[in-house]
Amino acid sequence: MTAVASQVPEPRVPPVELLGVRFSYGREEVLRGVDLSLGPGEVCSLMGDNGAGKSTIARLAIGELRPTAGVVRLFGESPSSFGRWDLVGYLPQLPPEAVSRFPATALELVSAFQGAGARRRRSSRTQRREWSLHALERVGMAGHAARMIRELSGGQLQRVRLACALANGPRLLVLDEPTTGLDRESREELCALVAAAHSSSGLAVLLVTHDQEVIGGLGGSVLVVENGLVSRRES
Amino acid sequence: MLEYAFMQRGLLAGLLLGVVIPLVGMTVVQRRLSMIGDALSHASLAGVAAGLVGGASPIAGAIVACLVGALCIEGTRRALRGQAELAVAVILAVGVGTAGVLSGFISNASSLNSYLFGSILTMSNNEVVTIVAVCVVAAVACAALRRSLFLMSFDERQARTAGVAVEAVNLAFMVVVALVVAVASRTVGSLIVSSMMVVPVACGLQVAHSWRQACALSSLAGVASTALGLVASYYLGLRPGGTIVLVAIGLLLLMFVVRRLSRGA
Repeated sequence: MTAVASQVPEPRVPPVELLGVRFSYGREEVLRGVDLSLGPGEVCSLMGDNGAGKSTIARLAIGELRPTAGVVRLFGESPSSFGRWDLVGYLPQLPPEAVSRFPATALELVSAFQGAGARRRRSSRTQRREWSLHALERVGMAGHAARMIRELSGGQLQRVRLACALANGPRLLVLDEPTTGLDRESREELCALVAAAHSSSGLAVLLVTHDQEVIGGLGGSVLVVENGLVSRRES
Repeated sequence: MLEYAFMQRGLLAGLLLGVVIPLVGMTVVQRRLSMIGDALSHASLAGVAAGLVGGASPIAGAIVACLVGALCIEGTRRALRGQAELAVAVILAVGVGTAGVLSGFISNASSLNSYLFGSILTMSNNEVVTIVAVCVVAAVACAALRRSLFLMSFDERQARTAGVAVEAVNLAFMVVVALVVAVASRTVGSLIVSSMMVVPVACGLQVAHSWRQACALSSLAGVASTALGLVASYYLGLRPGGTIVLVAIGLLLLMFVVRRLSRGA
């Protein structure tokens, strides 16, 4: 099983597939048969009202939640037995207080995400530091590596968190409302960084957002989550 | 002072716990689980009382009770997601209730009292060996799991997608906390151990500029308050457990001042 888990999935395997997925929080059924397929290098944005189930779909895709019915596949595998987490970058919503009290530098945070699994075991601390500085450089935050994350602005913090999500060169990036609370300039910067990562490395992106500008900036398909189902929005 | 064997044993156990309790406390505080120290220390008191009533080793009773308490908290936390506080409060109540009932069957009440406020200077060699063993296990576990604990303290969801086996690490960490609390209740006391899990960490957080610094400074504050507390209690004839915590509080006030001055500079 370990051998299977450590294999690199076929490049053509869809990073995310949901087939007839249903999900309930208690007695309230939020998703009532969702079908979604995100191919390699594709961008898919999920839109919808608050509570429609957008974030739930993202959380199901990475195995944080389990469906009450239907099938979820992450790179062709069930998320519960998935072992190649270095292929997945995840940027969930995080309450501001979770960051404001966390005593770590930007470099420490990125280093902790750096090199998951076997790659980490084979690497030295110096190597991981170099990789982490490079990851911070890619998001324009290398100059802030030694700063505590609680001292960063909202936009700077999201860029550091994006560096964490991209630290292992993933093939799939899942972003849950990444621009919430950011000013226009920071939103544009973050959007440009995601677009650059997508175009340079063929990254598949699953984006949950209310932000039309981000959707416009990234392109790709747009799905609307409504009444527990998803439908394609014609652009 | 150091010519006495009881002081040598007390200092050895105290200094080791001074390093390890804040090391564990760092993760406990960052994950907002500070009440766990309280709940487990009360469970340890129930274990001590059971040991004294049954004629077994009180410290062994404390270890068993803390492990059972920790597993109950973890089990309830998994079953009722988002209601970990309830599980902690229930275990605390069970510990206090059981200790209260069992204390009525203990012939020598002072023996139970010594666990309430600790009696670091009356430990046997066997107890010191147990404390050293637990401290080594806890330090090794914290070192081996440092990346996982760091990521889980930041965000459990992201930790999971960074390849951390969150459930397994949670369980292992709870066992470590239970062991540390159980042996610490013998030294600094059941009523005081949770303070030692939080106050030195608060000291470190005032002046640290990174996670690594915060861990190191927290343990340094734990060692300094233990050493100064033991020396002060020896020369002033005070109870060691309470003195150690009051010294830690004094250090925290000093750190507040240092922080304010460094910001003003």
